[in-house]
Amino acid sequence: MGVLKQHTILLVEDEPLIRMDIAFQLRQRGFAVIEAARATEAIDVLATRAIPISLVLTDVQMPGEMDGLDLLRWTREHHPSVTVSVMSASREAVAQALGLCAPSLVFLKPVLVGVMAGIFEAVLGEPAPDQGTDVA
Amino acid sequence: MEKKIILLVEADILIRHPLAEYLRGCDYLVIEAIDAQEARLVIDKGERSVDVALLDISEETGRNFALAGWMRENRPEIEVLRAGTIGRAVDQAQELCSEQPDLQRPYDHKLVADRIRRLLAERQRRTEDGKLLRQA
Repeated sequence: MGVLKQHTILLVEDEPLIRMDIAFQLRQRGFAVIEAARATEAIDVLATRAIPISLVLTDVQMPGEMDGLDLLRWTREHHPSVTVSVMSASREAVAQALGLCAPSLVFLKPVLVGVMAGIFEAVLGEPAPDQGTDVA
Repeated sequence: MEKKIILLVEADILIRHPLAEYLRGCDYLVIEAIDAQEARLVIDKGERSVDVALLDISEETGRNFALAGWMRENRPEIEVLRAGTIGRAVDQAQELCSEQPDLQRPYDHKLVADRIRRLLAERQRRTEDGKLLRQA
């Protein structure tokens, strides 16, 4: 019997209650989720390469030197195989994000996590044998 | 039966994530907070009550230590566990897991400590390599 795999989403959101809720719902849908509160934390995870990340889902406006759009650009440059997705309450930020990732992966807050998860499932498909995290 | 909730307060994502995943594997619902401010928000405004708080008390500001004291005084129903080192945090997590009846733990807790130390060592090496490159 093969090992079950699941995609890992790196969720970057500075509001803890929002982060908790999105992470919980994505886990319920079968994703593994790593929770980061800052862009720098996300880079820490991506840079290790020890944890295979399928998708980065990031808020835009966050405290710290880098915002979510900076993180997107960094991810596209250093990890081009990782899918990027953005969520923001700001229409201006959403407009900027459209130049950086696929339109279907740009979400205006408040997000419907169930809808978002369905889009991620469609975009990511089944994890390849060398992708994802072992479930069992 | 509802899952018990653990609030994990740890600023370093390379420590926080493996610990959180280990505890989730032991069938706890884990809420991750990067600092005392986030933790207070979760305690004050979260939809469900926290059962256990596992805090890193080695952080420099002392706010986590103060939070532990505040919880003991104001939220006595929360079991407060303090950890000053990675080893102690992993031991606390292992003790929590041992309280879960009839559960096959996902992996040896010593592997969690090893994993954390490897991630931190890799980050240290990357930081030193980065400094060497800049000096060259």
